[in-house]
Amino acid sequence: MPLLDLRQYIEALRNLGEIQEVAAPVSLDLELGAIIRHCSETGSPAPLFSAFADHPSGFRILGAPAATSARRGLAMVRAATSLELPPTSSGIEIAEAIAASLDLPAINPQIVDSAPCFENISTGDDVDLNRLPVPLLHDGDGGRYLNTFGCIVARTPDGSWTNWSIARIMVVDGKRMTGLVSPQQHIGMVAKAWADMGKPMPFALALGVEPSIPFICAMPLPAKVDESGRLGALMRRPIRTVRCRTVGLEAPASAEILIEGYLHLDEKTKEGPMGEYPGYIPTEPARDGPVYHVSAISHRHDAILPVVAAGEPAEENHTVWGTMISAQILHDLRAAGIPATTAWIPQQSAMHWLVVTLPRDWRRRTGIDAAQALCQRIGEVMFSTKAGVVPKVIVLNDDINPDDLKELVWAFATRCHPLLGHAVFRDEPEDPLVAYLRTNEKTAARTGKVVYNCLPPDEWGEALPVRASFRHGYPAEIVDRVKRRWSEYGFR
Amino acid sequence: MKDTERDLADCVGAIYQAGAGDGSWLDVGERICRIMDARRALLVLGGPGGPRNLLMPADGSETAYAGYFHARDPYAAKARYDFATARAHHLGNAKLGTELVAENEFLNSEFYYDFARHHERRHVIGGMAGLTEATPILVSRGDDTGAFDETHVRLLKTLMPHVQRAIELRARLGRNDETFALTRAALEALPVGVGVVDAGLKIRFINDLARRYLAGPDAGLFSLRSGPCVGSGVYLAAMSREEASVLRRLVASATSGGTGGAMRVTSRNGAVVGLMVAPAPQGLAADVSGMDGGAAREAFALLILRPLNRKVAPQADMLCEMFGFSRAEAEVAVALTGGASAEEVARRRSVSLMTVRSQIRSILGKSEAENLRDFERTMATLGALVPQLR
Ligand SMILES: Cc1cc2nc3c(=O)[nH]c(=O)nc-3n(C[C@H](O)[C@H](O)[C@H](O)COP(=O)(O)O)c2cc1C
Ligand SMILES: [Mn+2]
Repeated sequence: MPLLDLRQYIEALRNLGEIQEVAAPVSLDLELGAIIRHCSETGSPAPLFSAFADHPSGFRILGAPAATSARRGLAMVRAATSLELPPTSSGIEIAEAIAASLDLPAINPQIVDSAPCFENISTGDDVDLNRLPVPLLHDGDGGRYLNTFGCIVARTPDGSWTNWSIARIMVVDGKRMTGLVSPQQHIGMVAKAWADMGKPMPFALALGVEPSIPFICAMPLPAKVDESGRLGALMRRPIRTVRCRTVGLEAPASAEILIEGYLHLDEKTKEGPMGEYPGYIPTEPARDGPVYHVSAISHRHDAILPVVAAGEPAEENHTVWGTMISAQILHDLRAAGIPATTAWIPQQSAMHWLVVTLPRDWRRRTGIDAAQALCQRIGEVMFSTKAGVVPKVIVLNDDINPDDLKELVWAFATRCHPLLGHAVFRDEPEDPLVAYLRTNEKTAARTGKVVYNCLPPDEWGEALPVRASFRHGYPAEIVDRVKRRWSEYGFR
Repeated sequence: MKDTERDLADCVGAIYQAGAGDGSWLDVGERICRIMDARRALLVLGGPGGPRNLLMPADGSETAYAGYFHARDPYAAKARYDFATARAHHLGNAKLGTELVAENEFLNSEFYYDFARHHERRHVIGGMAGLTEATPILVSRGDDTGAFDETHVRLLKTLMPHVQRAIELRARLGRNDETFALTRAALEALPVGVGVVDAGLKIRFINDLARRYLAGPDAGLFSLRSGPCVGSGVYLAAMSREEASVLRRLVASATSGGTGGAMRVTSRNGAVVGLMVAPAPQGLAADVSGMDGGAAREAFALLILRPLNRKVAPQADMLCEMFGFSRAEAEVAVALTGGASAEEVARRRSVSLMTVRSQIRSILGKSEAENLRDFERTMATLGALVPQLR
């Protein structure tokens, strides 16, 4: 059954036991952030808040909308459900499905006439962002963040490219917002195209959209590719959009809250800091961010705002952005002739590791003979696109499941020679949010990257180490026999 | 005789390749003629078109022989007789024609008069091989080149055990209903290391000699039990990264429609083996892939391993025969190959250094070696060619 808006998604999650109604009034000032954080870290159900101790009623907040679940076999149930995949799908299976969709033709969005978000509209002097429940998420954040999981619509001046993306946005005052608009992100490119013409960029911020949309908004698609068409291909249906009231854009029709306005790249105010996906609350002072001037706010009755409390894994940067990067890289590597079994960002790495696994016969399939040359090639493919933000790549044989942390830690520790076969990239573009960057690297948005070779010695060819585990180290008959007789031995 | 030892080594390789169904017997014939300075070589074996000489291209002479004179060939008749009466004694041996058939008997035969003297078959050396019947190798020359001598006999003798093993192999592989056990037996019996690997270098078959080589602590090649699970197979690997890479390239070629090729593998102790990689013949591939080889037939590579500088010095009498060394020269040669200096040799033999120096000059002259190093290489190869019979 297609999930066409956030409410249908919440019902689907409720049926799966993944929603916790929170009727007790909570404070938007850190308490709500702390609850969401705790949910993300413990895999608790997604909290649906309906009352706030320090804010009038009329809005709700859905926390941890696509975080992981602690339930066995259902870790990625929220992501899977968002993309209408089976609830037990693993992250790797989800990434595989997304990668496969990249070869399908785009299905462009369908513009519909009306949308529930227009149940309440304020424009002009009526615009007041303070009516929205905007939380202070971490102790140390430089502002209240309204957008942590919404879709920012931006279109080039010539109309040829409409980009949908997620980037954090905080409230400045009743009519102004600011946020991260990095020059290497598409929103930054589009905004620059407008600024070059001396004009502010029209934008729409659609909050509380149908559950698949945040995923495509976080995907590192190439420039000039419309996210909406790719999502249509993935979901096999056109995504419904609706015309905005004050800007010449269409926004997802499913939005709970729709904010319209103009982004002035040349107008600066203090932005951040904010606790972010690497898992730290930055201690450095706020930086300059461009100003979003709001021209309209529309919302459904009893609108629901999704909120991500970024930080230590696993939250939506890891489950959504991480999965989408994995999928894009998986696709790109295969397109470049590297027969990756999987490419996966282990969530616990907070986007700092990506594991590529390969079948034992990768030499015959690539024509590349040496493991180091293979690592070099993988790095070249990855780091040349915007999916290459992950700075450390681990290359392993595909007997290892990178989604199994126990296996991954063991394999990385025991298969990686400290010196041999790695491909080091000394000066590459990088997201300044990467945790350990030095000040000059943050400023330059450039740093070193590495592809760790964890493949067996080249002279082994296709031979792999024999694993001394119950599953691998004994003949199948013995394994079967032990399993069969387990209770006979006296174990329970 | 300078390049003979190298030619011999290559010829042995060619023989097994031909026997395994890759490579060509014509190539073997050409090599034998070159090594022995002969004009014709004959090995008649059955095949799809009936028995024929595998070693020479079909020409008028071959047609005449196959059509009529083969039945009149006194050497062939003698071979049949010897094989029938004392096969074990004769197999692998080689003899001058005059020792096989009395000279005047031959010269007065119809075979000689009507055929052999016109077709470069005046002088003959016969080497004995055969499975169920005699299939000798007969090497011949016309009158212009002069008679063969013991050196040539010695050369053919060196080759004969390999020829015998190769025709055994050919017989095993050629039969479609062959069971794996029989092929295995044929491959096990080879005096060279033989292995069959798939395109990923997973070992599908390996004979005892190859197994023993791979198990050597210093061997340049080794076998490696592979994971991730027990029972995931055993792979062939090389100690050196570079050699492993060359090996993979050759196996990739042999398993993807190419011809494979040859390489040298150096052990830690300096020993060198020649490794030949060729596409595994159909029959063999079917055997090793077993019953399930029905649908997608997997390509395999045949590996043939030969030690090139096995530290077995040729025997002194073999050197006397091959190079016409005196007994003393042959002994000096053996000592030198064992690593002794001229001074040491003089001391050990209680002769003057002058004497040893003049013996060395003579040794180099007779063996047509440029210097002692060159000569040592010759000796090493010859050592490797002494058939390794178990
Ligand atoms: C929960 C979440 C928060 C994100 N926050 C930001 C952000 O603040 N700034 C940013 O540049 N990217 C952020 N991203 C990553 C971008 O969405 C991602 O890089 C995407 O590719 C950008 O879209 P674009 O490729 O069209 O530029 C976030 C992703 C997620 C899932
Ligand atoms: Mn984009």
